[in-house]
Amino acid sequence: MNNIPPKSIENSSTLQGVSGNFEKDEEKEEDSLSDISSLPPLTQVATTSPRMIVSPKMQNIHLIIQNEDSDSNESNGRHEDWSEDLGLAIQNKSLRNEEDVEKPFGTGTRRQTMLWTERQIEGDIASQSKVGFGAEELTNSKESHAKAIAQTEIDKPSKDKMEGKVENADKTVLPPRTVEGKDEVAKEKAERERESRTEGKKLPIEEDASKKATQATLEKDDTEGVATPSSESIFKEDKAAQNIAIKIIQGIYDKINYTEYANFLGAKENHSILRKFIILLEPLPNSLVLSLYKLVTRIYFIAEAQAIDRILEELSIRWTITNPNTHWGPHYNLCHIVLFSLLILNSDLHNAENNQPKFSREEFTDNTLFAVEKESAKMNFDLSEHELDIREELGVYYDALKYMSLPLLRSDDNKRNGKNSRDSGDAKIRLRRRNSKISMKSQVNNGTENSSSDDDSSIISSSSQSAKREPHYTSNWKFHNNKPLPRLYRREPLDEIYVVSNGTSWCMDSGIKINERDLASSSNDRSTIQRTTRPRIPSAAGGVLRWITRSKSKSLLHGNKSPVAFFDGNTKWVNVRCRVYEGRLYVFKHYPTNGGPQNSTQDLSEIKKASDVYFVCSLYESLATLVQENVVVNNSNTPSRNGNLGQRGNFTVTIPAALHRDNTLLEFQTFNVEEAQRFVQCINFWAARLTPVPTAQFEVVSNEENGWSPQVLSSSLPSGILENINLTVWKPLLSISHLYSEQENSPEETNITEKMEFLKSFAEYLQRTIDSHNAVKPSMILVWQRTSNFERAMDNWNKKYLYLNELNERTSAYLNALQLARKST
Amino acid sequence: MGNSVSRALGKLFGSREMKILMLGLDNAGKTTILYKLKLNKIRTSAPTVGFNVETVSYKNVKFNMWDVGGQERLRPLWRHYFPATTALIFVIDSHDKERLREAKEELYAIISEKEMENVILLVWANKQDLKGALKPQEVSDYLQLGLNLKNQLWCVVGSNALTGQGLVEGLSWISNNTPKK
Repeated sequence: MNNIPPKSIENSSTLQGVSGNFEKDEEKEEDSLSDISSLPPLTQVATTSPRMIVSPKMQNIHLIIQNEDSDSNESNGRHEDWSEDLGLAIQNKSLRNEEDVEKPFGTGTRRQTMLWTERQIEGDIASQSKVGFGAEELTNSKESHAKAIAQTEIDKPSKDKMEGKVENADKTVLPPRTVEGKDEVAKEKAERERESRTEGKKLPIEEDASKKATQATLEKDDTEGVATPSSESIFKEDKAAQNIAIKIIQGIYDKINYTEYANFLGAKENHSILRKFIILLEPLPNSLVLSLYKLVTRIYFIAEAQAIDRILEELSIRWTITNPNTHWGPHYNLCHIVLFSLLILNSDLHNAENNQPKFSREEFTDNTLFAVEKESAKMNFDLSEHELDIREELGVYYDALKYMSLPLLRSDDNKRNGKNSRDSGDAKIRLRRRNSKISMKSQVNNGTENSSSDDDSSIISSSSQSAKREPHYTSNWKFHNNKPLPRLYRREPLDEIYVVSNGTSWCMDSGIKINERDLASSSNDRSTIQRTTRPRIPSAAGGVLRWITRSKSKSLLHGNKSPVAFFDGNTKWVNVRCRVYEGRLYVFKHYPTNGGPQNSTQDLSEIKKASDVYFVCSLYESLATLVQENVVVNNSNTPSRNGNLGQRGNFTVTIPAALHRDNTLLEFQTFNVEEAQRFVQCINFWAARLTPVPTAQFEVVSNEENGWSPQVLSSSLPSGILENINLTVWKPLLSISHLYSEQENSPEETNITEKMEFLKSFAEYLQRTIDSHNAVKPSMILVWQRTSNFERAMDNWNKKYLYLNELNERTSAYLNALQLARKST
Repeated sequence: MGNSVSRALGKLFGSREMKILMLGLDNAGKTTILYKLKLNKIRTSAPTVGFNVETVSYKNVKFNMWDVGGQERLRPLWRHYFPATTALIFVIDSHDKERLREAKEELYAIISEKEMENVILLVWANKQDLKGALKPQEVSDYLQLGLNLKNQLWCVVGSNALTGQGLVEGLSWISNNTPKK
C-alpha cells in the first residue's frame, strides 16, 4: 500500500466502468459460460480494467463453475462464498446493490450469481490492487500473466493469497452445500439488525444488536466451516481474517494487547483483516469527521503513522463507495487526505503536551485544501467548482473537532447523526466499562505471546532487560537502599573466573586512603547516609547523591584535574576500604580494618553494615591515573605527615560530569605505588568495558565553519569575506552519556576482544586527527591573523585540541588496561 | 525517570523556544530515536487519539515527527507543521541503500519549501550499527548538501538509535547553532 502510483485514482472510476460493463454484458453471459476458452464478457471487463491479473483468475472461476454445472443449485452457495472469500462481506453487498443480493439467493439463478460473483471479484481486485496504469493488451498466456505480476505493485500479500486460493479451488471438487439457507437467514438477520441500529435506538440495545450482528456473522462462518470441510483450507484464511476483525471490533481479540489493535490492522500483512474491519464499521456516516469518529470509537486508535495511514485509506475507500453522491465523488484519495488532516488537527488541538499555538481554522482549511488540490491536479480532476463546498466542509469539521475531541476508544457509534454533544456523559460511562473489560482481558492474556508490531520498542525493552548502564550515582542510591544493582557489562567466560579474584584487573579490594576533602563535606549530609535513615526517593541530583557532588564543589577540585592533594602537605588522608567490583567503585569509610588487601568475596551488604559512610559509583567513562606516572618527586623534598611519599602510591579517579556539571575527581593514596598501579589498571579495565567508543562525534559532517575548513584555508579569500564569515564556536558535542546521571541506558554489548579492536582503530584515528589538527594551525594563523575573527578561530582550535588530547589519553588508557588484562590471563 | 530526560532536554536547549520537525522515510528509525530519548514518557497526561509519538514537547521544546515514505498524497499536509520551525531533523537509514534516492528526493522536497528556508538541518545517518551502513561522510556526499544548500546550516551525524550514539550529539549541535535567548 505504500507506493501507490500517482494515477491510482483511476481505480475507482475503473470500478464503476466495470460494473457498467457487466450490466451491458449480461445478455452475453450465457455464451460465456458454455465456452471457457472464449471468455467473452470477462475479457472485455479485463481489458477495460487496468489489471491483467484479473484474467487468469477469471478463468479459474469459470473452471469451477464448469465443474459445478451438474449441481447448479448448490453452487450458488459456493459462489456466494467465493465473493465472500475474495474479501467482501455480505453486509455491504446489500448496500451496494440490493437487487443482486436478492436475486441470487431468492431465485437461485446461476447466471446472476455468476455475474454477481464476477463483479465482486472485479471490484475487489480493482480496489485492492489500486493500480492505475493504462489498460494493457490482454492475452491469456501465462507469460503475460507473469509479466504483469512483475510489473505491478499490487499489494502483494493479498494478491498472493488470492492466487493461492484460486489455485486451490481448481483442484477441489466442491461438495454440495446444505446449510446455505440457514446461513443466509443469519446474515439477513445480522443485516437487519445492523440497519435497525442506525435508526437511533437506545444505546445499550444497539450495542447488543451489534454484538448479535457480529455473532450472527460468526455463526455463519462456523456453519460454513462445518458444511464444507474439504474446502476449508480455501476459506480458512479469509474466515480467520473475518473472525479476527470481529474480535477486534468487540475488543476481545486477545493475541495482542488491545492497545496494539490499530498497529495490527495497519500492518501490511493484515490488510485483509483491515478490510473486514472497516466493512464492519458500515454504514459510514456521510460526514468524514463522523466516520473518523466512528472509527476511533471502535478501536483503541493510537498507532504508528504508517498504520494509521493504511487504516484511513481503507476507510476512505469504503467511504467513497458507500457515500457515492458527495462532491468527493469516487475520489477516495482526496478523502484520505482529509481524514489524515483531521487526525493531525485533533492531535494539534487536543494533545495536552502541545502548548504551542494551535492551528487556526483558516490554516487548517488552507493547508488541507492545498494538499487536496495538489492531489486532484495530479489526476486531472477539476476541484474548483467544489472548492467553496469543500472549504465550508473543512471549516465545519474544524469546528466539530475543536469542540469535541476524538475520544479514545468508546463503544458508541451513535454519533452518526451528528448529535455530537448529546451523549458525552453516558459515553464516558460506557468508555470506562469497556476499558475495564478490556484491561481485564489483557491482564488475563499477559502471559501470551505478544505479537506486537512495534519492533522498535520491543528491541529497546529486550536490550534493557539484559543489563543496565546506570548513572554514576544511581548506584549509590540503589546500594544504600538495598536495591539490586543491575549488571553493567556483558559477562564473558573470563569474568566467571576472575570477577572476585582480588589484585587482578577484574577486582581490587583493599584498605587504602582517600583525600578527606573528597569525603569531608559529606558530614553535612551524613544523616542521609546513615544506614538507619529511611530510603529517600531518588532524584537526579538529590538524595544521598548530593553529598558527593557537594564534596566535589567544596573540595576545590572542580574543574581542576590535577591532583592537588598529593602536593599538599596538609592533606588529611582518611582510611577507607575500597573495592572495584563489576564496573563499580565502592568506598567504605570507617571500616574497622587495617590497610592492605581485603577479603574480596565478602558480601557487600555485610561491609555496608559495618561502615557508617560509604558511596558507590559506576565507572562509566571514568579514568584512573597513577600520580607517580606524571610526577617525579624527590623523596626528601616532599615531607608529608603520612611519611615518605616515595613509598606510597597515589591515584586519582575522574568521574565524568553529568550534563552542565563539572567532573568529579577523587584522590586516593595507597600503601605503595604497585598497589596504586593495580587500582588504576582495574578501574580503567572496567571503564573501558563499560564505555562505548565515541565515534559518532567524529563522523559528523557539516557545513558549519569553525575556522579550518578547506574552503577557507586554501582558497585565499579576501579579508572582507573572511570578516563576514560567521564562525561557529566549536564545542564537543554532547553524547548520550551526558544524560546518564539522569537516565538508565542499555549496556555496552561488545565483548573485550571487539572492544580492543574498536579502541585500537579509534586510537589510531585520534592520532591522525590530532596530527591533522596540528597541521592546520599554521595556515589558520595565516588566514585569520588580520581579521577580527582571529581570536575566535584560534579559540576553536584550542578547544578542539584539548578535547582531542583528553580523549586520546582516555582511549589509550582504556586500550592499555584491556591489553594488560588480556595478557595477565 | 522519564521526566529527567526532559529535564536534560531543558538544559540542552535552555529557555529557547524550539520547534523541531523530525522527518524521514518509514523504517528510518524515528520512533526508536524518540523512544531512546524517552520523550514518549513525557506525555503522562491522557494520550491523544492518533499518532504514537507524533508530537512531543517539553517546556519550550516541541518535536513533531512524521513519516515521509509511503503516501505521496499526504505530504502536502506537512505544511501544517512548517510555520516557525527552528530545526529540521531528517533521519536516514544508512543501511538501506536502495531507498537513499527516495530519501534524498523527500529531503529536498521539504527543505526547498519556502517556509523552511531559515531552518537548520540535522541529518541523522541512522543505523550505524549495521554492517555496511554508509558513513556520515558517504551519506553527506550522496545527499550533496554542500552543493545544494548554500544558505542553510546543515550537519550530518551518524547515529545508532539503539545505543543512543549520535542522538544527543545531534541535539547539542542544534542547540549550539540556534540563537540563545
